[in-house]
Amino acid sequence: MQLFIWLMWLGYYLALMAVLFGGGWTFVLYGAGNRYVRELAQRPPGRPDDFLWVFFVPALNEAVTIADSVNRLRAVKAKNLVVIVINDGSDDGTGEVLANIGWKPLIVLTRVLPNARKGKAEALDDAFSFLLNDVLQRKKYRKWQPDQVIVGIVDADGRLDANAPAGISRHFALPRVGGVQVNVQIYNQTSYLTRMQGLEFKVFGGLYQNGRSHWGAAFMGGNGQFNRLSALQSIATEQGPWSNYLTEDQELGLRLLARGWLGEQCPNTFVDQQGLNNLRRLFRQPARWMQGNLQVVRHPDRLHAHHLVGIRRVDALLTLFLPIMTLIVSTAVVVALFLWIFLHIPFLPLSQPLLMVVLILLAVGPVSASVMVLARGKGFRGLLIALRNMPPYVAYTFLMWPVAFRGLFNLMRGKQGWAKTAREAIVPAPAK
Amino acid sequence: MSALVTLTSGLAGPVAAETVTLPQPTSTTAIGALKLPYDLRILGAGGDASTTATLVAGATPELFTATVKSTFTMVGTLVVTINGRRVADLPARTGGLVTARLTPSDVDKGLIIIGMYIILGPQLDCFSDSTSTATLSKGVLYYRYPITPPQSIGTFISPGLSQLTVQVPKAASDAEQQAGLDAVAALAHRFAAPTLVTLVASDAAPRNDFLHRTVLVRESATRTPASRTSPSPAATAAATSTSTATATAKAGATASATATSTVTAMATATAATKAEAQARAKAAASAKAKALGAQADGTPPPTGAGAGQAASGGILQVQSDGSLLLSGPADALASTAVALADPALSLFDGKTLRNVVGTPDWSPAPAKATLASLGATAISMSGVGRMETAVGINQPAFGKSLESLEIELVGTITPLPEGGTGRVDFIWNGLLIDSVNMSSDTALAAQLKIGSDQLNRENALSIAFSYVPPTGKCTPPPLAARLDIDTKRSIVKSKGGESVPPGFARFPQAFGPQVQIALGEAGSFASKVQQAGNLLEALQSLTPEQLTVALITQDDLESSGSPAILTGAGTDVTEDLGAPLTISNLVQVRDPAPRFTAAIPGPLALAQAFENTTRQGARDLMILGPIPADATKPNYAAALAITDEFAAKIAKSPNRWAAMTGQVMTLGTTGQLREIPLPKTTPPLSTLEVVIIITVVSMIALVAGLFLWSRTKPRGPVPSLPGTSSTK
Repeated sequence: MQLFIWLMWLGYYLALMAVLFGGGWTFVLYGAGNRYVRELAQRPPGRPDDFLWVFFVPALNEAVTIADSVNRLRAVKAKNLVVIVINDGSDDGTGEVLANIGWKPLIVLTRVLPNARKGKAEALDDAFSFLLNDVLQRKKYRKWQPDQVIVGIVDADGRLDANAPAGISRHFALPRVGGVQVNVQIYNQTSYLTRMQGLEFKVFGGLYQNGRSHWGAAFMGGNGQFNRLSALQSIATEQGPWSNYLTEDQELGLRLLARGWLGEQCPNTFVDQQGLNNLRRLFRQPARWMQGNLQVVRHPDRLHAHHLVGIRRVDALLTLFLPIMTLIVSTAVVVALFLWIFLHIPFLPLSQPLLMVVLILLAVGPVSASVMVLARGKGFRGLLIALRNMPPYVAYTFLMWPVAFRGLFNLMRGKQGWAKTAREAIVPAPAK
Repeated sequence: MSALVTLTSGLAGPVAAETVTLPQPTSTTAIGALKLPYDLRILGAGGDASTTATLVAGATPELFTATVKSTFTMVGTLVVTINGRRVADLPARTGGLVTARLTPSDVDKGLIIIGMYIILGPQLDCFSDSTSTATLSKGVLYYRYPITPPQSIGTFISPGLSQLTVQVPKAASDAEQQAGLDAVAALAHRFAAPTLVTLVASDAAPRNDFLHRTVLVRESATRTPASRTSPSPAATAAATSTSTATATAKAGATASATATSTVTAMATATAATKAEAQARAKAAASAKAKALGAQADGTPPPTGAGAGQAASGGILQVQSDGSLLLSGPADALASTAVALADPALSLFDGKTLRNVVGTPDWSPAPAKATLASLGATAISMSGVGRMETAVGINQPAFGKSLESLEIELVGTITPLPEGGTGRVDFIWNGLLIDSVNMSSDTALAAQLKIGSDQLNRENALSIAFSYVPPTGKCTPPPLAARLDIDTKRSIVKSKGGESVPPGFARFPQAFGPQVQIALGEAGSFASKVQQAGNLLEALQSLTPEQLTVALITQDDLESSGSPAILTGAGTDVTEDLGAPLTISNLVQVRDPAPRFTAAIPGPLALAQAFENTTRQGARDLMILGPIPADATKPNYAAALAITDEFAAKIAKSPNRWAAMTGQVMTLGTTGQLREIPLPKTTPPLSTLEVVIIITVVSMIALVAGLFLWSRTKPRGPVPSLPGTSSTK
């Protein structure tokens, strides 16, 4: 019994520490993000024509979306453009759809079984190898140096902003910038779930990524991720830059930071992607992210690098440990609910109003505060928008807590593989 | 009692030795002696004080004796009055003995008001004797009463009794125990000291005489039937009375108190006259009885099934031996017991009341109360020199523990004439907390903030008014100055919390309206019930609000997070509940530095009041038990007897519960109550404080660790920084 009580206390204490540290760091990132946005505004405009823009589009059975995706990329305003669609062993007619698109910059890299369908990382590595050994060897592209080649990844359901190269090139004008992540938006915000997914991405980009960018420590996010070819080369193994993690983008970003490259968020452009209206399918996606995060966190030693020092290292560490902290807090909540329901131990200290307010603030304060990114630059109206969005977003974050356990469960049972997110029927993108 | 007593009397004349003959009993009457529960004290040159004694209904006063001691230095006269009649003049400098013959006209509505004031000779110095006192003590009121036991509920429930015993069966059911305890609280609430209310668990024939009465609590299997008897014309008159006369329900408390019991007395044919019945009914109506559920008749309570329509109340019935039987089904007993506090019962001349349902008289002062609602009906001082009056502001009146008070006093004061000086001092528990100088302004306003360190269970706010006229002399008599505090506009704001350290002083306010009582393992059932009754009676005496009881098991007490009282505390429970003294073979003081351990000195009663930390938070507990608590020990029986004596002593003490101080009290074979001072220890940090400290230290350590780690670099060659070539 005594041991049980001590364990309870330890868990309670760890949860408190996680909440305090996580909450505190949220406010630090908010301040850093504000400074980053102001600094970015001072930089000269980007020059997209200085770069060769290479887009990797991984596609596994994307017959429904791939034409739309390629057509969006056709609209991208870049003079020097190559689009490499990786047909990763599709058997739904994706290849035929691609074959019927008559567009010169489009190159289809077809992978066939048994080499296909081994995960997104392998597909991207294949494309990377194809880029180096084939595309860039072609006469038309031979003049481009690795520092001038920007490799972007757009998911098959992605709709990249046509002006993205202009915004992104502003970041790559700094030679140390090795990776840029653009904002991810949800284009089908027609329900509570999709609206909240859109808000979640806004919070991720506007709060976390902008804050990290102040220190050049932004992570990569897969869809809408842009890397300098020389940066990818500097971290590439025999297999290629991407490794077999479920969150290969995050892992790649970590290695870039450790190598000394700067990572930045581009707040001025975006890639649209499809939101999910089905809760079960929605759970699968963040569960995969959670599992991938937990895979990455097993190697914190990689943070101990020469060029990843000071606050960049601290932030990278906290980013890696975020899933652990989420698990601790989620477990604490579950235990507290159990004690409340079955042992009648109060869930909240009702007899101590001040303490109760503090605990409630700790529980929902940081999440609510994170929605303040909606208010950035919008004055009083922005504040009203943020306030209106706080309650539903807090509810959404509580709704998504089970994914932490599902991700952990998947990791413990050794589940691997590219659990592709299901697509919904294509709807027209709203007018921008 | 000796029939003749030699007294030195100061009655109506010079001091002389006089033999006073005490009244004698007759074949139909006896002589009672009522000791004044409190001393009467006057202060300063304008001192004036009075107290009341309640005479039991049917008794007639005969004689009053007392002793007056004085510290006055000036020549003058101390005057003692009975209901305004001057009965003794004593020398102001010496005081003396008081012997006053009394007549029935000295009683007004059962009350005898004993007053004392001083008349000093002409003086130049306005402030001489301003702090001198005269104290009337050892006051005894002799009265004659009939020896026949009471024959009606009204005469049974009468103030001025010496003792009321609540008797439950030796094998009392839970409902009977609960009702017995509720009856004790109700009667103690209704009748202040010197009436002693006790609880016994016994099957013996009850003791009844005119001054000592017994309430028998019996659970019956069936419910009270609806009334089957037609009320008499007198009763009908009583029931239709709509008088708006006011009545005071809380003895010695405030005029705003309202009896909330649902008893309505309906006079039976035994009522002497219709006029009397109407008069009584007026008073009953004024007590604001709410539900007219009670019926009166002259028949005994039913014992068989199917006696009539079901009702929720029990029965009150005066037995032939003079005891009052409180009976009813299990779920009705407690409510009927609670109704014993209702003043309306005193007005009922019948023998039986059915369907008696009561609700406790619980109306504590709100968070924002007026001084008037706290019992200060008028604060007014007029004269020259120093005058002082005090107001009691006690935590129990608020029905909860308080952390702080804010008192806003509003009043009017005579403008200061040119050349005169004067001020008003506000003294809280003997400590000057504010002072206002007299000026040309007639408005007086003061805001007093009382923090937790100044707040006791019982508190006295003294208002001292000092005035020196322009001449600087009191002779010839100058124009007097006057100060009036408007008690209806003066506000007391209270904030709930803790101000009193853990111990007996936290009770009864820690409880709120309901006292949880558990009977432990040590001692017989009868013993523990009696102890619980005595402690409850003592507790009730400290609050103007009527308490009710929740009888719980010891297991429930241990797992509950509410304040509670435990009688029959055994060995284990002192350990389990974290009492200051733990009892096993040794007595140990819990966790002081240095740790104190002592062998058990002999049979003892041990009472402990302490703060107990539970899952739901801290709560206050009071436990009483014998040492040794183990039935196999040789001194066990003696210790149990002493424990009974302990509770009885507390109940009989003039200070009642307040006789217990600190956290630990014992009673040994010497018969002396003793407080065991606990070694001063640093209070342990609360769980919250520990968590905060650990968290802050950990956060600092974590941040420092992260900072240092973030600066370290791995061994080996430093790779070149990327981005050495620009694309610009």
